[in-house]
Order: sequence, then structure tokens, then C-alpha cells
Amino acid sequence: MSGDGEKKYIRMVAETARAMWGDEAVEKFMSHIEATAKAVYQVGSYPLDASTEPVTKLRPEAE
Amino acid sequence: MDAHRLTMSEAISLIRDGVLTPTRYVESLLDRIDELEPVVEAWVTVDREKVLDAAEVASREAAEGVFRSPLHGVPVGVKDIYYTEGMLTTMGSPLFQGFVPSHDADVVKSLKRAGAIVLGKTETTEFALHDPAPTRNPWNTGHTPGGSSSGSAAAVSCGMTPLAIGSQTGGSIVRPASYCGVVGFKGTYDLLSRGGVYPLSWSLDHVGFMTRTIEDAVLTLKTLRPDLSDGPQTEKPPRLGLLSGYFKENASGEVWQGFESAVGKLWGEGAETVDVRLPEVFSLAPSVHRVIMSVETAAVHEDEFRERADEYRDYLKGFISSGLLVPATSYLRAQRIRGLIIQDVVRLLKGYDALICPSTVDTAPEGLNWTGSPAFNTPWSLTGLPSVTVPSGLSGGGMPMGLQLVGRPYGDMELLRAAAWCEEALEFPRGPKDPYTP
Repeated sequence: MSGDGEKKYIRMVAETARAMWGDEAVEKFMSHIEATAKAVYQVGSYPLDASTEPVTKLRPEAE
Repeated sequence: MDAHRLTMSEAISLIRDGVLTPTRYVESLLDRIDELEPVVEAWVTVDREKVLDAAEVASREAAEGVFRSPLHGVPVGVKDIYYTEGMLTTMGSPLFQGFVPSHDADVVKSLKRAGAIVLGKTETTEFALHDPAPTRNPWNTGHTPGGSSSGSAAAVSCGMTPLAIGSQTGGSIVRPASYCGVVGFKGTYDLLSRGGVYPLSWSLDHVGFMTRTIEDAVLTLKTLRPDLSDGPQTEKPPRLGLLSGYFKENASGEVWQGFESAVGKLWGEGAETVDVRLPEVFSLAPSVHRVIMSVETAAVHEDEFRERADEYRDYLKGFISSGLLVPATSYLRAQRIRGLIIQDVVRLLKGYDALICPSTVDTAPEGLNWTGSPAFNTPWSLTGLPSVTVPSGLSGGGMPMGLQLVGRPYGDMELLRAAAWCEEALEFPRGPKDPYTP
């Protein structure tokens, strides 16, 4: 995971937020926007293999 | 008799024997509330007249030998995001000022049917998220009681009620319970109905409760889910998987020392304690939780937020705004990774009665501006596994610390059995805390 990629993604999200709500709102909520954008980037960087991943369930598998 | 000093089980026993009436019990707790509420501020609403009427009915039935359940005549506090018929329900938000539901949440309905008496509504952070309630921690009134079930934890801690209902999406039951030195239990996801509970994040919201002992928690769970089996009874000490890694890295020095000391006691009493290694994907749990919760919270509030954003407090406003920016594919990716985390942690649980770790990162922070970090609880809200905190000791500053036990899916009763064993070994005082103001 590249630190630059993460920073770039967060910047892009902040720009989108600015376009939607304006500078004042974005400054006020920047810590939230950054934290969520960072989480999104980390989730997006985790490799997934659709053929082997489980569906989300809680019952233990029958063995 | 100072009935507020009794544990729920002790009070139940006296009610059964005719030594204590539900009315006398409730009066004692109302006196306790009158005395301490100006300092602790745990309640949004206490409707004395309604409470005494309900207690009168329970007392009459008890005198006739009619006991609707083990909880007959037991007072209960209900977090203010649960619908209560004819009783103010504010969600901790000005948006719901004056809102009085016409029906009860499912859990409230079950408790009333069981003969329990709704004492009132307890303080919550705004919509059970982060913006704090005015409640103070009885162990030191200059400290937060934690949140979001702030009033429930504080009220149980200082003996205003033996039982209070809470909810957990991140760490909203286990954290405040630990901060306030009481037992806090959240069941497996979906074990207890969320019907009539105002949502924060649908796939993460859990129903649970606080008591002063594990015995009281077992009685409550059995009343709410009488179909649950006790499982095989055994006196054997539990086999416990010790979690370090993420937990050791993020715990304060004092909390980790307290945890190690508690583990030493458990080991000394005969528990088998084994170090277990968290799966690699577990490190993503906080990010996965954040993505899912921010999107679901934004979805819950989207319509109202568009019209009335100014009536939301700052943290929730920022959190909703950030959730509205998450792409749908990222939300679904987070849910897929969640599946992997659940799979790996459930595998890890095989061979253990419970996994254990500290209940919180730190003891209750000073001040009332924030409710502390939920970092040690969010993984269990994310995985939906049952978890419980048992008070384990005090910090140098006299604040409670807790031991968190995590069980397998739907192994809630087995988890509570392991917790009962730990509770006995740890010997934390069970009496109510008289509020301390330095």
C-alpha cells in the first residue's frame, strides 16, 4: 500500500466534499472526512479472492 | 433495608420469600436516584407515578404467589434510544424532543411481560454515537462514564438500578460498563431483537445490558431468551485464549499491566491460559468497521439530515458527511472483508471457552467531552461475536478496569459461564459505588 496513494485518495475525497458542501463545512469536518477516506483506501487495498471468500455469516460451518 | 445495595439476584430471592415487596424495592431505588441524580445525571426520564403503579401491580401479584418470571418485580433502566410506550424517548437529540412512542421496543415488551418494572430512560450520547451525554462516572465524577450507554452504566454502578438495557455498535456497552466497574454483556448479533431500537448502523447494532454480577446477567438473558440452553454444566476452569498483538500495541501501560495481573490470578486459580495469534486480516477490523458504520449511519439519517442538518451535533454531522462520500463498492468490499475476519476469528475460537483481552484501551478519561476509545470493542461488534466485560481491578488513580471475554457465535450462555468463573477468581467488590467527587 503506497502512502502517496493514500494521501492522493484522501485529497480527492476532500475535493469532492468541497464541491458538494463548500470550504467551511469541509474544514469543520476534515478529521471525519480524512479518517473515513483513509479507511476506504485501506479496505480498497486489501486483495480479495471472490472464489474463496466466505459470505458474511455467523453460524459455525458444519464439519 | 438499603435495597439499592442488593444485587438483582439477592433482591429476587427476598421478593420470592416475601421479605421485600417490589414496591418497597422501587421506593428504595427512587430514593437513591433522588439522592444521587443531581451529581451523576444518569436519567432522562423517571416517571415516579407510572413506576409506583407498575410496582404496586407486581407486589399484588407476588403476594398472591404469582411470579411472571425470575425478573418479577425487578426495576430496569432503559437506554433512551429504545421505544417505550407512553414514555418520552429522545435518542439524545433535539430532533426527538417531546417524542413519545405508542409502542414498546421488543426487549422492553419482553421485560414488562416478565414482570420487570421500567424505572425510566437512561442518558445516551446523541443517537448512540459520540456527542456526549451529561452523565458522570460514579467512580470519579470528573471522568466520563463512557458511552454511548452512559446513563445505563452509571446508574447500575451507583445502585440506582440493578439492571439497565444498552446497545452497542462500536463499544457502547462493554466500554462504559468497564469504565464504571460493572458487568456489561452484548449478545451474538441478532440474539436479542433490535425491534423498536433506533438504529445507528443496522448490521452492527447489538442489544445488551449491564448488571453488577454475571449471575444477574445470566438471569436477564434467560428471561429474554428462555429457549437458550445452559449447555453442559461443568466446574472445570475455563480454557482461555489470550489476545495480545493489536490489543497489547494499543493498550495503555497501566491497562496492559492490569490485564496481565488479572490473567495471573485466573491462572493461579486453575484456568488454562494460552497465547493465541490474531489472524492477519484482523488488523483491518477498525477500517472495515469505520467504512460500514459511516455508510449505514449516513443512510439512517440521510433524509432527516438533508432537511435539518443544523439540529445535529458536530461529531454526528461530520460522521454522516463522511459516510455520504463512500462509494458503494467500498462498502461492499468492507462487508466482504468482514466475512473473512469472522471466518478466521471463529476458527481461532475452536478449542477455547473464550478469548480474552482488556475491555478498554485506557481507564475512563478525565472530562466529559468525549467518551473514550472503543478500539477494543469494535472488532466484536464487527464480527457479531458475543462479548462481556467483568470488572478486574482498579488503576493507580482508583478507576475500574475490565477483562473482556469473547465467545463463539450463539455460545452466549457458555461465554457467561466462563465469565462467572473469572468473576469469582478476580474478586472485584460487587456493591454499589457511592459517587466520589475529588
